[in-house]
Amino acid sequence: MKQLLLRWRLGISSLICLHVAVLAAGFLGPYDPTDQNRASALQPPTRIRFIDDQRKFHARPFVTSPGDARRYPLRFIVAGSKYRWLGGPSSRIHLFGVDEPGRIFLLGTDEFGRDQLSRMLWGGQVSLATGWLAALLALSLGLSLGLVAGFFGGWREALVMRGAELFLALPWLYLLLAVRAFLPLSLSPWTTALAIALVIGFIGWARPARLVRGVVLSAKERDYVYASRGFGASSWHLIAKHCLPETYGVMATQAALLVPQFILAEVTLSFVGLGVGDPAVSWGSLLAPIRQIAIIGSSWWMILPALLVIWTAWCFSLLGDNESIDG
Amino acid sequence: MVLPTNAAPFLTVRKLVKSFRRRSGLTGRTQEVQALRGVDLELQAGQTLAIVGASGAGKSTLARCIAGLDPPDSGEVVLGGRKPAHREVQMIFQDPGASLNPRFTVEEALAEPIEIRGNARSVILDRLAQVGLPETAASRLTSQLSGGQKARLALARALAALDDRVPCVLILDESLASLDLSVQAQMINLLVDLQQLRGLAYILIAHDLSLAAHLADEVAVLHAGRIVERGAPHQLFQKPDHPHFQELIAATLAWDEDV
Amino acid sequence: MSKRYLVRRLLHALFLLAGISLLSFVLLELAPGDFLGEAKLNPQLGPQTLAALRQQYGMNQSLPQKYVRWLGSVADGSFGVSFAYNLPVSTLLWPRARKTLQLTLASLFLSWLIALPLGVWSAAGRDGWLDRGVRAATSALVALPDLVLACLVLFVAVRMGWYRSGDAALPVTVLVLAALPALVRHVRSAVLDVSGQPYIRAARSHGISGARLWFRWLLPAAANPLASLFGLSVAGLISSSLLVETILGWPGLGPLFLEAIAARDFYLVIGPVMLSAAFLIAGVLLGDLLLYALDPRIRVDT
Repeated sequence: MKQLLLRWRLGISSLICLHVAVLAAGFLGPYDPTDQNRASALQPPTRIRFIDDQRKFHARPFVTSPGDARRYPLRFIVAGSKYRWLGGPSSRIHLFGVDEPGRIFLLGTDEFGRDQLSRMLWGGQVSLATGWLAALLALSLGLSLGLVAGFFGGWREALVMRGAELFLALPWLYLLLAVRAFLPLSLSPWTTALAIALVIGFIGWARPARLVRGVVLSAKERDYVYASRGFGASSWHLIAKHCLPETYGVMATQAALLVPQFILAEVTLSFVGLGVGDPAVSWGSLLAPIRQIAIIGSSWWMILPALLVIWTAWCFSLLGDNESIDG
Repeated sequence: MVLPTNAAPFLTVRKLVKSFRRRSGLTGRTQEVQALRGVDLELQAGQTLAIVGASGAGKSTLARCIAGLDPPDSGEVVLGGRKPAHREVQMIFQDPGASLNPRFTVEEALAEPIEIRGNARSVILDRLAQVGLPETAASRLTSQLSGGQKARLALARALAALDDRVPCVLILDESLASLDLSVQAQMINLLVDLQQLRGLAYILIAHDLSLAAHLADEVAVLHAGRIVERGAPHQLFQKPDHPHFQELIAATLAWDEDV
Repeated sequence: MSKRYLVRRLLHALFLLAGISLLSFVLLELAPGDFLGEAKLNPQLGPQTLAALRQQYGMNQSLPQKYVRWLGSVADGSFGVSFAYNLPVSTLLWPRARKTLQLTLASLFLSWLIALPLGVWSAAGRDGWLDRGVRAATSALVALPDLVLACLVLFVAVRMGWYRSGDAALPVTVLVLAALPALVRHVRSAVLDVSGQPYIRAARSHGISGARLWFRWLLPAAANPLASLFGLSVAGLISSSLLVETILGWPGLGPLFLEAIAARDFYLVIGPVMLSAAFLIAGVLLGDLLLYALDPRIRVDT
């Protein structure tokens, strides 16, 4: 039991760190994610050095550029490119950086010379937001339909359950890709992200609905529901006051499962080029260059976004109830 | 309370029929069980009627039909010329605690019928006092109450749902059976007081014949879905005609597996 | 085996497929944009040409008309026409479907081959070193998304010089690795559940133990949950195969599908959707039939 709590705490704190970092993408990332610089294309992660070419030690770490003997000391709280906090107030302050024309690419650059660290942070905003939004939609839909199906029974229940069966039998990835493809490609990035979230969430309502219905079926047979009926309570009252609280547990577990699944759906879409387009960046579009063998061969750091996705998925899995499977 | 016998009946039950499906454990198939096969009853205002019978005779089903919780297949329940309203007939369940949502506080549980009836919440403390619950209980969770306190709370809720201004019926579906004897005695006193105060009519569904005899003005025996005997307690118990009633008296001496 | 049961399940499967096809049609129709949408940008194609093409491809018809026409094409085996290739969809689908099936079946076989003994041994040596190792590994790996796994395997393969496009070894490895953690876990828990049953304890008391107990008594007893698991594992493999084929260069349905999507080739998009749905449903059906064959209790009721 203690181990379970520890796992859960670890998962939650890691996820909070991740989300905070992603939200602070502009501050934490030294560069604009769309800043192209052909001269710095496909550069490996910049080495942070303490000892210069003359074997002299410097307390303040520095970086050097290829073909340039100058040292560029690492500075903290620097002014740099302009960015917006969540589309609101703008700022120029970054956590760290080096003086021009030095460059610090902690995680290397891509084929257009864009800083991977900044792109990973900003990309997180799109991927995470889409996952959460889609999960919100799927859970809301699933909750409403499950409540109606479980409480009222009859044709409503039959309709919802048959529909759920249909949606669960769908090869959802295929359908997701197909529907996305037929949406116009010329939407603005955030509209696209919203549309993607809507589609993903719409396809994913079935499992929560089935679970909620199960909970409601047993909840409505309780004596206290009959007692309330006896007082003359409306169906709405019975559902809201007595059935709904019983669903919270199920909804929480489903959320822990669906959010990472949907984040991954967005990553997959972007990976095959059907997600948000340039100039917006998502974890999927960061992974896309991997499909080129040449890039793998020459630039190992391009796989790093994969590790970020893995870590996110792993953190969410810590929240889940998977001990019960092991028995 | 004794009323003149030619007073008009207050609550009438006519030819009540109710059956339901029960899943048979062995074959997994569903069977139709006829719980009520034409029940006729009359109740005077302010009177206590006890309905007794062996377990499985249909007592709870009858209670639920009269309370309006399950619609009968045929027959009718009439009060004042029409179907009884929620504010006129209330029921207290066999397990009073189960009729309370464990997530609610005492205050929320009591507020529920009050708000559903459209009354103000300020009367809550009065109602707690009416059934002998202390004010301090208001903020506790219902699951934290003792058995006796839960029974009191269930009673308070039923009373809150009933209209103070008209004569009402309270159905007690073996509600006292699960309580300790001392707590039971307290509840009985409370019920008697309330009856005198508000002129409530009681329908007491009971296993316990001595309880029925003690409290009731009239006793009706339910057997195999019909009322087979009816009369004042002392008449029935001294001279039981119906063979099943004789069995019943004998059976109450044995351990009752329902309780 | 009861014919009625079989017929009932088949009808159910057909209804499901019909429902999926309808749903897919509706969803795709709702989305604005079609094959010729992009073509509008081509200055050489005048509006009359476009209109004529539209007419030819039947794009102006209403949704019910299109659907009925498509059903007709299903009946005659062509599954509609690909706008991009100007060929019946089925001609393009079958060779690819064969490739995907090869991959899926190989992975199915291999993953169960590994998962069954591993799950049973893990359950048998409960809390021993093997069990703890297996539990740790599966816990860590079960959350690993297929997409990322495929990328990692590709990465490692390329850096180590093992990569060859069109080779089955890598895709199968990825699919098996993706399926194993959940599979091993479920096998282990199914076997554990069963091992507590009275008839197993009776067998033990009769002196039956060790491998004989585990493989000839427990495994058949656990057939019920395992058969259902079979259907789910097929479903999982089908979904994973899309990405794996694309990333590792296996010429199955996946790459064809993505190509059709890029071109908005409507019927060539619907085709793989329906085919994968059919595989999925077939897999679950197979699982149910397997269950029916293995578990005598079910036969009594149906």
